[in-house]
Amino acid sequence: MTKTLVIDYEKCTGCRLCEMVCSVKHEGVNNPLRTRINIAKWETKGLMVPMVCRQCEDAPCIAACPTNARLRDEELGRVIVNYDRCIGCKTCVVACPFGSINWDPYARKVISCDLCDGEPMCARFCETGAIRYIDSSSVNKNHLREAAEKFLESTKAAAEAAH
Amino acid sequence: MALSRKIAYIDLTEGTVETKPIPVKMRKLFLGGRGLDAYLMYNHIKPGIDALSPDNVLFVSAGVLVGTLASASARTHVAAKSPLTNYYGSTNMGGFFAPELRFAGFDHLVIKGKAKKPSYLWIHNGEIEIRDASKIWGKGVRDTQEALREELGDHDIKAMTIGIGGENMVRFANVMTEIKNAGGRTGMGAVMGSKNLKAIAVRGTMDIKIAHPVEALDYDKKVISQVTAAKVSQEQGHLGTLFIFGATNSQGLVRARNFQLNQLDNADAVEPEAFEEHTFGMTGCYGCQVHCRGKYRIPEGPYKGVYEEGPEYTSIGAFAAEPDVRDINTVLVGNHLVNDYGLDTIETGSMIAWAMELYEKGILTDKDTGGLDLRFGNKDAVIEMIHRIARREGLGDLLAEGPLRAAKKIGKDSVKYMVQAKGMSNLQSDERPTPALALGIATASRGSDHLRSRPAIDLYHLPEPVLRQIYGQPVPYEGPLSSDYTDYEGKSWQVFWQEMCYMAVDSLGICKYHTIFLGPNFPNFDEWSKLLYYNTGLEMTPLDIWDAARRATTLERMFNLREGLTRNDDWLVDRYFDEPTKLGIPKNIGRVIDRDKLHKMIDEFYGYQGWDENGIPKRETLKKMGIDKEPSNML
Amino acid sequence: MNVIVLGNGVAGNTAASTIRQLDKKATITIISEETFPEYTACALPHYISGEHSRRRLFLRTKKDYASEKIKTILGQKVTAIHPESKAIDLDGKSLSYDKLIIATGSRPVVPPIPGVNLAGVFTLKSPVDADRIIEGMGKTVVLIGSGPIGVETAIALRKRGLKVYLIEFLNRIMPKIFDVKPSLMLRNILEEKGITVLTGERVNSILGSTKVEGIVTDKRQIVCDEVVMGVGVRPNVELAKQAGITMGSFGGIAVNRQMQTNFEDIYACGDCVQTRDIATGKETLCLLWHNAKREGVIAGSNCAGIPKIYLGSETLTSLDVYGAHAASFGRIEDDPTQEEKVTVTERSTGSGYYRLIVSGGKIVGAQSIGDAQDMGALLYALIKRESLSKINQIIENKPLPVNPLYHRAARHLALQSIKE
Repeated sequence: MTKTLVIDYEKCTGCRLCEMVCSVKHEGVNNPLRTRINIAKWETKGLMVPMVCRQCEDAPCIAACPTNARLRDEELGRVIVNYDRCIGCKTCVVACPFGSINWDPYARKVISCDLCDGEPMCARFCETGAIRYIDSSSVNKNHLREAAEKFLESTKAAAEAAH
Repeated sequence: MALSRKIAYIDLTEGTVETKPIPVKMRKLFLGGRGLDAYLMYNHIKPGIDALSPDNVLFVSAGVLVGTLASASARTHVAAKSPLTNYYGSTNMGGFFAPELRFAGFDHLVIKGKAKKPSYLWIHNGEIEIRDASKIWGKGVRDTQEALREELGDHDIKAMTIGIGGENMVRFANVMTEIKNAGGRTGMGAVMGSKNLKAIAVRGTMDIKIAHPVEALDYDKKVISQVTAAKVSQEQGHLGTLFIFGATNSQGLVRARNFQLNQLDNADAVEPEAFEEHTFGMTGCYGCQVHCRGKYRIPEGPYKGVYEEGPEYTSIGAFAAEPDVRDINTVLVGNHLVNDYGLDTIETGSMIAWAMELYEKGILTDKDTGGLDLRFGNKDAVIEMIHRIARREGLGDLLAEGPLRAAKKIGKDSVKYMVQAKGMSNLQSDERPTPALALGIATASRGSDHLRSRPAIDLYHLPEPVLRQIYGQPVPYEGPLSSDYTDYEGKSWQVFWQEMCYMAVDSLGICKYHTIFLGPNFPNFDEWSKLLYYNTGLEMTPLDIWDAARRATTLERMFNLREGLTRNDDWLVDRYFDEPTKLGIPKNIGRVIDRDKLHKMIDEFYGYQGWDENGIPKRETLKKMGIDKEPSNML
Repeated sequence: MNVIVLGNGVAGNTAASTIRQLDKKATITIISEETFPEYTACALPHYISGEHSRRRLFLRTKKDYASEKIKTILGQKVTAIHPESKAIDLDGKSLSYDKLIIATGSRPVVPPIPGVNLAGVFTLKSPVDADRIIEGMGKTVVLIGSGPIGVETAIALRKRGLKVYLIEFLNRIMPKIFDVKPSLMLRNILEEKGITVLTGERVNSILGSTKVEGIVTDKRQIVCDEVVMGVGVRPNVELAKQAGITMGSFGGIAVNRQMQTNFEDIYACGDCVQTRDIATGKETLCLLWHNAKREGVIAGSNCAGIPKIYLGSETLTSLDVYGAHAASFGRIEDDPTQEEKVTVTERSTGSGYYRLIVSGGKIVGAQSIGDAQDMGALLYALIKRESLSKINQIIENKPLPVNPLYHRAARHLALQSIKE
């Protein structure tokens, strides 16, 4: 059973530690242009959203790649790049609906989340639970329970109001 | 290389910029941040100048670990001669400015002179430009940053900016970044205003190389876990620093009604839990897993719906305890106003509370307040006075001058109602029951202050073996240590040790909440030695770091002495000694500080520092530290 | 099941691989006139410039075909399709099929200019074309047509040190995908690098006796050793037409959303096909790599019995102009074929230039130079026909459901304060 990197943006505090450890792990340096995960911030609204590759099953970036350099690795459930094939045309950058493929101008290559070969650094360091690497089957468990609780509360309230 | 960042000398009068590398030798002596700024301050500022004149020099720096995998490596240090105290001005702020400055290639900025017209600095990947700020002069802190991002065309730009407070040179105006990161104390915003410098905008995309990435990642995880596992971190991560108010008010350690009482009674409306209702999440600084500030929207009134962050417990002090108000909206709005005007929340609250006591005693009348009812408890007056101070209107213009100058102008022994040391107000803590904390207030280099040497863990009644473990390294200590915070014995060593600890933290650029400040099991010298090595490759033993802290502390002292400081300035106002506390838990009622015992603590404190009985560094201390030939003009 | 695929391009190959993934037992045969394995035309300029080896043009080897158990018949021409008997004529033989996938691609348009048949005049579609262009390099080359292929080839030959002329008939380069301002920004980059760009100029004839010696436009004469023409492509549909397969109004094979032709067992995909634009729903010829690939998946899937629907073609272009990433999708403002009125918002940021084309409160197109990070989100806002006011509203209140698409797109929109 593969695991999924799950983002719960409501828990994100915008600290950008995930950006830092991603960049350091992959490139040995801390640089906001060389990270595969980015926190999109709306400072005056207090909104922070981690943006990272969704490892799409039917990835637009794979469809767009003119040299078939992007492919799915079913073992880890991720999208990877064959750099021998990549010509750096950056069409994948444009095709991604989540803007999650970056262009590293120093290494001169497209970069996107590769799940750190199975031990994602960001999930390891994120203590708020905004980023979790969990069994794909439990991805919606939390949401399910939260929704169920809300449902229970409102039916209870409706029942009490009826009396 | 994380150490390869430069120092830039910017002359606003001439419009020139010069950059230089920072020799590793200077890193080994001072680390960076506040430590290296102490050296720069002593070398670049001439004695006796007017702090609001072009002769003053402003220093802005990122600590040596900023932007690396050290826990919460986010802090900026700002220093200059203080227009509030006329002594060493220094302030520290979190957020995201310091990492951005590092990404842009700089660790230290030295800003001299005065620009002919309103200007701002634009720093980008190794380049510094002085640009016209006439379009943003007059804007609040928030609007300034948005306008800079628009003008420069990049929404990831970070900026350190002043608000109207700084433009009007309110002597305790602060420097701000993002929504609420404040470099609050000692009036650094006024210095920027006096230089016609509205903001420093930064954007950087240069590599910060980590010396040993694999080890750094593993070790950083250990350090982070050490910090977040502590109960105090979890409380902070949930309530923010507000929990400190909750903990201290119940004991009777909070000053209320200016300094007449040591507890705000019936304070439910402004207890931390009351703020929880308005908070919809937490946020924090670069790289930090404690995330100690709340996100809220102002619930009612003319600012309804405005997004804000915080507030800190000092704002409960400033806008509730000290003015004797029990209204949460006043705190929420007050926090927003000081953030957007760019004023020190502590100083602002303290000045308003002082004015209220003067009004109560008839020293200030309706004529002085322009008809404003400045009695304690008038929440609207609190808000109105914040506006007037920022804009320097009426009584606000007088209060904007800070404690000593305002007291001098008002005369009529108004100064005895002021709670200050060296001309800077105290925060809202009442140190009459706690000698150790009182010593810190008296001796801190920048004035009455809680972040330079406060042994907050003294309040936890830790067993003596635990204290010995903490305070017995990296240098040995055989003297007494007491678990009781009402004792005098052994406290001078604690205060001295904490001063070195915080100096090291401020030089490294990390956050005090990740060290022995609010909790006893936190990282300190040992961990920093490893963090330095793994992240920057710099090899410094815990003792080397301690020595660097000692060196910088003594240089700060020398700066103050050169400006006329004497032992008499390391003291507290009379209320501490003459008016016993009235409220709180039984052991905190009826307490004052004993003058003789305080003198003895100060003697011991000076002794540990290597200073003589007048607080002047001894010749052999300077020689041992290698700073007997200052100013040496090496950087 | 016995499947024959006509054409060895990305559409045909993707269809074949898709069938193989879904059906382990089917017999799959790819037939092509060309002699080489699957290659990507998009990488040809990188080969011409010398930055990539020739080997990197090819996406498959014989081993790859073998491991997928896909048979190939290369270098042979199919002469007829017989839908009623479900067979094709190949080199005198007759091969029968259960399902046929036509992926015959497109060929370059050669304008009827005098001298167009001289040696040294090329179009660029296959590795052989590229080989010849490299072989025939002299001192000066003229490129006719400034679409993305023309621009990339101009850059490639300039990198080889040649004097390069890029000639465009309309008033700006890449006139169908960039408006005046961004087009000019790109032109400036090309000119800075020494490429001579001539717009609003028509090439009237090519000079020379057996080999190219120069060209004549309506304004001047240029001496050159080579001419590369990039004025468009046309679908290869003769075989299909002869077989009675219905054509679309623009000259491509007509297909339904399952990529089926009027014959149930004959599918078509790739450059030979006419489709609908995903955003406007209008019929179009949108002959681009990513559309061909997607159509191949759809055709192959339906062929193998797994129903899938093609949602439509995306007009999406992305190219690198000396390090500046230029991207465009949807319609541009200055499009003479469109009548509807649009509003345009542009924005220069530290990292690049964005241009949004908005109509009826929705995004209908966008162009960017430099930073294309948010283009994907904007593209999907276009595809989903999201209204701007909804996006603004979401970002004001609180983004629900969690869809980062909104945040990315909304960020730029909110920043540009487009109010409805």
